[in-house]
Amino acid sequence: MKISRRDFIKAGAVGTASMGLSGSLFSSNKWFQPVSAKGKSQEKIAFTYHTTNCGGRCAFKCTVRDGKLSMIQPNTWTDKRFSTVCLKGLSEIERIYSPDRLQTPLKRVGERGEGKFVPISWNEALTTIADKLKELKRKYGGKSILFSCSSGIEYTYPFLPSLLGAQFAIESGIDIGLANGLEECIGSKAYGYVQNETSDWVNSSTIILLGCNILETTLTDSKFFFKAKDAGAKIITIDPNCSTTASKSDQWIRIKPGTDGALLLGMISVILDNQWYQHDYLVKNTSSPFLIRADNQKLLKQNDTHEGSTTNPYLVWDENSNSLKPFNAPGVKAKLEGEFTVDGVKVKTVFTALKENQKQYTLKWAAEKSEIGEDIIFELTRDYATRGPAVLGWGFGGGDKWANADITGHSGGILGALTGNIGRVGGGVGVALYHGTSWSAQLSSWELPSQFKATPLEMTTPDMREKPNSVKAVINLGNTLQQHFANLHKTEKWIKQLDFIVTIDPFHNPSVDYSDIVLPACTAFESEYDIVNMQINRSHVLLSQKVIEPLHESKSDFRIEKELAAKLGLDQYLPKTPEEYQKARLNSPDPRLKGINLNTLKENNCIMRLQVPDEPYRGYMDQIYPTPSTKLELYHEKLAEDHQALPTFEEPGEASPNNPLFKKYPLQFSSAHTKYRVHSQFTNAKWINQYQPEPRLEMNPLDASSRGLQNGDLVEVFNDRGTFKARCLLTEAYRPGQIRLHEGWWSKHMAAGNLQNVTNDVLNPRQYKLRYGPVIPYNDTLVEVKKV
Amino acid sequence: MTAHIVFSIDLNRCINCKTCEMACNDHYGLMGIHRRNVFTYESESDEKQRLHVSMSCNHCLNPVCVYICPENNFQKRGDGIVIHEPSRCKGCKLCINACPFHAPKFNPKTNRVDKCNFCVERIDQGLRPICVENCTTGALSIMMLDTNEIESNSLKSAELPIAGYTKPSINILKKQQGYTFFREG
Ligand code: SF4
Ligand code: SF4
Ligand code: SF4
Repeated sequence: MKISRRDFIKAGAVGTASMGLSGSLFSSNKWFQPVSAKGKSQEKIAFTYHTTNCGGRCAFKCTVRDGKLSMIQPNTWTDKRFSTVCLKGLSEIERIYSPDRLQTPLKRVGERGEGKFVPISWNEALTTIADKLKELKRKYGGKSILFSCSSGIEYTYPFLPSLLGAQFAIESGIDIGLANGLEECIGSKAYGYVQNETSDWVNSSTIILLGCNILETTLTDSKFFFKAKDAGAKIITIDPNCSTTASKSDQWIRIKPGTDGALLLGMISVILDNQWYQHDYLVKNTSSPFLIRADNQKLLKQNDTHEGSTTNPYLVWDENSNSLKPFNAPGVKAKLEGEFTVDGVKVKTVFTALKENQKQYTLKWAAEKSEIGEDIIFELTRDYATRGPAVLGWGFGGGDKWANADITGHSGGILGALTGNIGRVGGGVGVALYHGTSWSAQLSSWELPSQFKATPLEMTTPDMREKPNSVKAVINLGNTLQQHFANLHKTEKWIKQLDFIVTIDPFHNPSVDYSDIVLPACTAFESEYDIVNMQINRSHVLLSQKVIEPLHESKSDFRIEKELAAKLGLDQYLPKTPEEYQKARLNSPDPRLKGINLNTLKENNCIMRLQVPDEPYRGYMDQIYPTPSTKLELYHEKLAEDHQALPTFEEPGEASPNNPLFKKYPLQFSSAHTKYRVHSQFTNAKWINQYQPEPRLEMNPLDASSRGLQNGDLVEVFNDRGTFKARCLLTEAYRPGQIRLHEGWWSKHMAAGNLQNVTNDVLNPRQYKLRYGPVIPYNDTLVEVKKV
Repeated sequence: MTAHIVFSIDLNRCINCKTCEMACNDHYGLMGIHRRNVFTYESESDEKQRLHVSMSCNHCLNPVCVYICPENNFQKRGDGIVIHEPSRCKGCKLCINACPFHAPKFNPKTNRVDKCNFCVERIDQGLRPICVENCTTGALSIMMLDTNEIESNSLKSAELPIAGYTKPSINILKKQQGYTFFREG
């Protein structure tokens, strides 16, 4: 609701207009009664938490009245800063009763994709699935079955893939673009999350948020954002658009999409030119003094016939003895800069090579690429490098989903190393969303007999659509067919030639329509069992209880897996109840879990803080990294032949003016998160749809007027891959040249098509060498828009 | 000199997430009407900056609802809270039209007027209103404000476009301008 400056705000005017829907806001209005009515009802309280993978993990105190969920309030955490809930959590009291719930098992009767089904019994559904899986396993082996799992599924069928020897995938090629580059430096495998917990931001002087809309995507962490701001941190948001986070920051810098790497490379140059780097930190904690051989671009090691840094350590030039020494020899004083000749081979330090490589990336160059003023980049770099502890935080939706993301991540790692901001109080580089870093503990696992092993994923799932592979059946948990692949038409072709597709979800999401058999799962509020699940999140152990009985004919994921295993004759290996399973997981020697068991959890509102220090988690404070050298590795040998051993800028894969396609399709298309939904979830939530009833294509009025578009016009977005239609929304907050539709809208909510019809699925070959494989460059997409 | 309890809204924090609205509906089992609404308006100084303000009944110092209700269903408490007691409400809607904010709303389910009562039951137990309790950012809070200050409180200075003659008892924390740098690309 936008109010012009001349109007006065009237609560009622809007209140009733947008509420014209009145009673229709509820699927059923019999049970939803004001508090005053509760005297006559049967009431109970149960505890659970939100599993939707919004990045929050809000814990709920649920009031159940006459068997219906009727009120959700935040449960109280040991650390009360986490006691919170957002509108999506509150809206569950409507959503779980949605008419989009799958009510019975279904069998497809039309074509795949057509959405024609008939209800069948659970027995028929499970027998059909089990028979088909047995047959496939017999004929082609378990590897012919792929479990493809959405991020919002908490119980990810942990046993069936192993029992069947099947493949299992969760988010192949998603949220890993920047992590690929950053974690090559750090050596970790943690989705590129920042090293320090968000609650450590109060100790930061500068916080740079690069394409990181934390106030929408992790709105439960907003209190840490504002705490840091109150404590004096300067928060700078770099985003093409005036995002919610940008509007609450001290400074907003508008960047050209796809050029985050260029900006970071420019910042590296400014730091080097002004000698703002931390010399001693670089020598002690990074690979900067290691020596690169001119003949083969490899790092010089002592004894190349051996593996590992004890028997074959990297060599450095020792200043004390003026000779080569293993980097880890006692008393070594490694030279940070210099060129030397060793047995006739020229070598130079990584730092010297970095300086040389950076010569091409002047401030002027970075300013031209990123379309940010030189003085602004200079000031930004000074704020980052010289004001004290600084965070460089990015998100999963900004620079991540671009073909050049690994270079951006690598540059970020180097910035953190140059300024000593990794393993530092108030520092950190990486994904700053989702409170992804906090204290944790090692749970035990439920062991299956050793003959049961899942098949490692043959290839990243987007490639399964094109490259020869074993997969003949897909068990889709959630909505992966829409969400986990770009270029939906290609996905559809692949799906249509598969032997067998099953979808298991509470809702009739778009993936359902492609499936042969559909199973209705419970939401996280329903179960046949008193204890439902458990997880460690935000330094606490959370237990979920049954809130209500399964709705319709749905079954809990635990029960579905168990019954399927029984049909396969293998359920004797599974825990009998979720309670038994969770007990086994908690039976761990980890001291951080001391005193935490199902009984104590139940006595404590189902939430207990781990036995961990009462301060924010901070990683790598000991400066020992899980890399081969145990140092931060800035030079990536294995990418030498790709000219990316040190970060070298590369234009976006598609969305670049240098691309000849740009003439035909001059707009970059981005699909972003919103606070109103979680990926494709809540698309059907009536309470939420009061605020965003339909998808809107956001664009700047300049781009609209040059195409003769008015606010609210129905437009078609298209490129060579496909097309979709939606109404447009003109906003000054949006950068000219970029258009956006919030992600996840189901096809049935669109005027036509699906946004994945246009998204870019061309993977960058270099990234197969990196730890997560290639990123799907969803946002590296060019399109054109026209009026319908 | 007396102090009244008032809602305080920080324009630097509100992100328009609507959690406060929904928490109220959830808690009071309301459907179809909202006691609290979050509005968005453009800042006069920068049109890229959209400001959000969460408003319910303003529990005014000069509450026209109290004066106009023929059934005397409104009452202003000593702590400033304006309560509407719906049990005798005839649904004449005079208050809806008189209130410059249309804070009282007609509930089609009960055929009576419904309005934010500042969660008085919670206040009387020493708890904060449910909207404040659930605000995700700390934008919405409550505070004690001297009635003289409410009297002189100029909401205009906060660039908030609302009527002032009922003397709305709210406190607005004005948006501090940040720096923005952009080129038109
Ligand atoms: S969707 Fe909202 S309520 Fe649910 S976990 Fe995320 S922030 Fe919390
Ligand atoms: S906002 Fe309206 S209903 Fe509330 S006290 Fe003021 S005049 Fe009365
Ligand atoms: S909950 Fe808080 S931040 Fe969200 S809309 Fe309401 S006042 Fe604003």
